[in-house]
Amino acid sequence: GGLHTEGDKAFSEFLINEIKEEKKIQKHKSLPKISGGWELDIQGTEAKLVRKVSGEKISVTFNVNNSIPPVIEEEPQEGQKADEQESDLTSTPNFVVEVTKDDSKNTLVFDCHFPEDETGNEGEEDSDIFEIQEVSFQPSEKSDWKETNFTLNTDSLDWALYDHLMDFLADRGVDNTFADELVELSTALEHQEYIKFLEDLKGFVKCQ
Amino acid sequence: MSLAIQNLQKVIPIRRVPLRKKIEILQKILGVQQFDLGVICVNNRTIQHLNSTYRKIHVPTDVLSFPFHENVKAGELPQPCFREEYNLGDIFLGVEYIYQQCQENKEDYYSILTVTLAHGLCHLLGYKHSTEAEWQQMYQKEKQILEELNRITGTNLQPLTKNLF
Repeated sequence: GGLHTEGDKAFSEFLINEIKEEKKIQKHKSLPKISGGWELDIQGTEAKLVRKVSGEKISVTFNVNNSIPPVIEEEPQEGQKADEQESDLTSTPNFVVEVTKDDSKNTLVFDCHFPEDETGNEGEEDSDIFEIQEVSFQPSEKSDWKETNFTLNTDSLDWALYDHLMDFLADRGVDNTFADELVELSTALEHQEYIKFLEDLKGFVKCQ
Repeated sequence: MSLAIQNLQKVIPIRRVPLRKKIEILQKILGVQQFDLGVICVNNRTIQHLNSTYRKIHVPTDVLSFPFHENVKAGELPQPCFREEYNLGDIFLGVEYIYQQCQENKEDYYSILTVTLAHGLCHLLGYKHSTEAEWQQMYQKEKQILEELNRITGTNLQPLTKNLF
């Protein structure tokens, strides 16, 4: 049952073509791996990477929803067709790093993000690859997380303390290499989910 | 006053805290702790792009300095009039280039990083090495800084300009 309009038919045909094109430009047919011994678990659009090292558990969680920043419109480069530019869309999700020591009831939580490239100029990056935005302690039991625990905001944080926090993360495998690989993984996952969504949409709209 | 370190590359692992410690010692020796400073670690692609843009030299290099005060004479310190002028400028460290050089020359990476920083800081303070006279002056300054650093940290670092002329 359901409505089947001319609009639905056109929509369905459009989606068939769109899905075909998206699969053509899909960079990774399977999700890329992250180096460093991380285990990956995916629940829909949410990905969780977990690593255990010397009595510590480190997890990195991100969601690919709303993770693609707006792209500054540019003229197609010489020899590049306009639609090929879409494969340059990258997913740069905010991500949360949780560090739990075996003998502690508390987890150190880092809210991190990829700063947006405001200039749009390639090769003239003027910020770190990723930044820590907030740091807080939370109970290791997720259900006990509170809004009332002190949250350290890095906006006006002493640079030396910030450097210690970044080195702390780097020692646990969360460094620029990891951040780059996370972007690859997130971009592939987002594209995969987008294609899946288009296919579900096609099935839903399809005229009988 | 504030030292901002940024790491824009992933080729070479960078430990920020030891880097900060070294730079702060160098700043203290030079008497410029009250000035803001930016140190940015970049890969070959980025440093080559900067070298090409600003010096028309199309290869990567070890360090590029962008002074805030462009008319400081070597041997003098900037004379800021306002709070915003307490700024030395930015040093771009070609960490990938430096690492590759160290591998080729079998030198210690962190030692060369330190002498390169000293060199970069001297450039921010008006020292140059375009002529032999300028080189002599810069070499003497670097030697003086590194002798003091060696005394404090127990190292044996030599100036980057040592064999330049």
